[in-house]
Amino acid sequence: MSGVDSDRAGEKETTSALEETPLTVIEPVSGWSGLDVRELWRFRDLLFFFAWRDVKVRYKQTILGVAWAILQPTLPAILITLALGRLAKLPSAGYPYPLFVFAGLLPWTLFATILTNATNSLTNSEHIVRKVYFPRLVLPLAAVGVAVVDFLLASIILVLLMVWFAVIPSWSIILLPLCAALVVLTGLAAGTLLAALSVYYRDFRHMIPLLVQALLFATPSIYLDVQSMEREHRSPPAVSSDADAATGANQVASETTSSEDDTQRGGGWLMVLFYANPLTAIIAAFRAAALGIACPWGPLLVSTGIVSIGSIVSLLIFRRIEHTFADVI
Amino acid sequence: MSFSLRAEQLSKRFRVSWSDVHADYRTLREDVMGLFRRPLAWLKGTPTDTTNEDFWALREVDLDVAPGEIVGIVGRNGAGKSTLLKIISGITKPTSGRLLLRGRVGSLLEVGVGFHPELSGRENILLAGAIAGMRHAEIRAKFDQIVAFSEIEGFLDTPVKRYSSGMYVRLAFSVAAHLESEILVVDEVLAVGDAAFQRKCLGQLHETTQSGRTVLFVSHNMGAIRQVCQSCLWLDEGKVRDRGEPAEVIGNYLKQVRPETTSEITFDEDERLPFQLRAVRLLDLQGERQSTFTCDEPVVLEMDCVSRKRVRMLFGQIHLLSSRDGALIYEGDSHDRGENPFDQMEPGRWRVRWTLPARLLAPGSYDVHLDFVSHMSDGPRNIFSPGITCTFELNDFASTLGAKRRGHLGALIAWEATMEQGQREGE
Repeated sequence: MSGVDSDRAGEKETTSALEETPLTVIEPVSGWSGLDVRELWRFRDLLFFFAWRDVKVRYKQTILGVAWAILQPTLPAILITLALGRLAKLPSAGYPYPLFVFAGLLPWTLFATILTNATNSLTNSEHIVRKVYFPRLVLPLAAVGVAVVDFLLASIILVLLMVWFAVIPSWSIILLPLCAALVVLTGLAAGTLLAALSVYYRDFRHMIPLLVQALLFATPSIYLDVQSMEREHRSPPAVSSDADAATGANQVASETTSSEDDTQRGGGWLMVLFYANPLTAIIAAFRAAALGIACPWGPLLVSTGIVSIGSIVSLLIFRRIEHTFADVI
Repeated sequence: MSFSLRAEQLSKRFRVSWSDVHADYRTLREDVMGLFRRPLAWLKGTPTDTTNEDFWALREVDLDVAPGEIVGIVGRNGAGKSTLLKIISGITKPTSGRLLLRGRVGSLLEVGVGFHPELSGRENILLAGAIAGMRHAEIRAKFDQIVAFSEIEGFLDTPVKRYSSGMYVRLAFSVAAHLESEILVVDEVLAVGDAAFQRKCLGQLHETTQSGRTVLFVSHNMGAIRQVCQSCLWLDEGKVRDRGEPAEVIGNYLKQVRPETTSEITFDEDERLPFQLRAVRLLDLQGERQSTFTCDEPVVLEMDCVSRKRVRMLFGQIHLLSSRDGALIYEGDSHDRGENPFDQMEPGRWRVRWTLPARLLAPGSYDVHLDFVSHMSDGPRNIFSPGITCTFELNDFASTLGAKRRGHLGALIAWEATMEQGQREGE
């Protein structure tokens, strides 16, 4: 019920026993604070129960039930396959386009679900926030539960597709959980910040569907073979470690070899733009790990850096204004 | 001295537009402008402008509560009672001052917080327990006790959305009542539930303190406070007005409240309520607003109501309390005479009148306590409970005894003498 809580189980009536009970001091909050892991740990049961509740309630009173979890990435995958694979005939790294797209949409759906649920987590629990104390971070964290369950269910389709197209995963499959974790962290970083902000401004709630839509297009690795595009633009095969270096190499290339021209330079900037969104590299890496394509290490490293810094900033802001939630929400 | 809870100069400031639940949310546009003027001001927590928008819910409250003490907290709406409880439970932080607490705090600020309608009773016990701060093992250990107390054994696996409101309240209270904590704070939650269950809950509260726990208990029910509390705290405009013996503090409180309650009270509209009052006023026969009447004129209570949804079996309850000591003088409800206008009241704005006949009550001062309740199969459920709304004074100028008349009734009853035939004196 409260942060003012000791793990003392027994009940003693005597004053001496009361003297032993830990003293909590509640004071005005000032300054910045980081993650209070101990307090969060004390509320692990609540975290679990919130996640469990969301999973239980998710598909209650629906006809399709759990099938919705599978349909969510599958339907857009079919649409994109028809539109871009059949009509635009986009290249797909030598893999069947449906498999290629689904392997990108699967982590994307994980991200989008976490972003949406985490952002709405505080305002959806407005009532609880106003009447009960617990570390508020529990709510966006618990939003991950449903998304992960959905993700695992939808992964079955990926496995089936891989069997159908006879794609044998390489050793890189062991990186898959790591890539998925990075997707979760990205969704949490953005979702936690937006959750905190939407306590103050409901605008952010309304922004979410639009943001998710825009991000789908701004994450080209879902439907484009970004890696081979990148390789093409680096005409003399320069092995560079990140997106910036890639552009650098690109510039050097255009200066030394005069065969390529402005279009190439423009393409280099396009790559930077692509990778400015950390999801681009993370989703490409997820697919690479699943299907055994070469991992885009450079961009992935940069993206991991961006996500880490983003998570810290998001956490700091959340913790800074957390204590006002009950008053403002 | 050992204490269980100690507040030192505890203060809490709200920005009114923020604290008001029903007010519009802040808009981004509005604040982005402010942000440009004073960058990062709100991140630092400093108010962008200290205008009259600031509202001090608590001002420099000092309070010491001994272990095992039950403290009743009284005060008008907005006096800071709920804010104090929220600070104690850690939900909101004070603006200045500090609060020392010994041990774990359990809070019951509202019944059924965190219940999910789609989940079964069993699942909701687990969830609500976790939300209330219980560890999983603790809930498991108390599970049977909770179920027994709530009397819902047969419906454990039914989704609570199919529960009647009475069952819902019982289950919710049971979970909260079984919290293990050294300090328990309880806000006006006993207003819901039927009378029998309320008694059971009060009993449970009483038992709680037998085991040495400290309880802070907010209620508008003076009787309940007098019954269970050892001491009473009166908050007024965020300050401690009085603290001491319940009977004494309540007496002072009622004395102070009476002259300030006017002959009219208005309520903010809350779109979420299916039924509510907008205003209650006292009128004389000419339709003039009054708070002082003579015993020889009727007192008209006029209620402006809004019905937004038809509520089945909705009815009004009126209690007249003596302002002097809170004693119940009269009880009535809208079933008393003929048709009950509130049952399935058509959506719209209504005006309802209730008239206290002349010469019914003794001179004195009376509080009008109102409740609107929906009668479900398993007991009543509060729909709108303003509590004490108006206070009126009755003066007796027509009789010789006048204002000196004691007791509750004011009827002038004739002493009729008839001489028995043939018994004339001196015959």
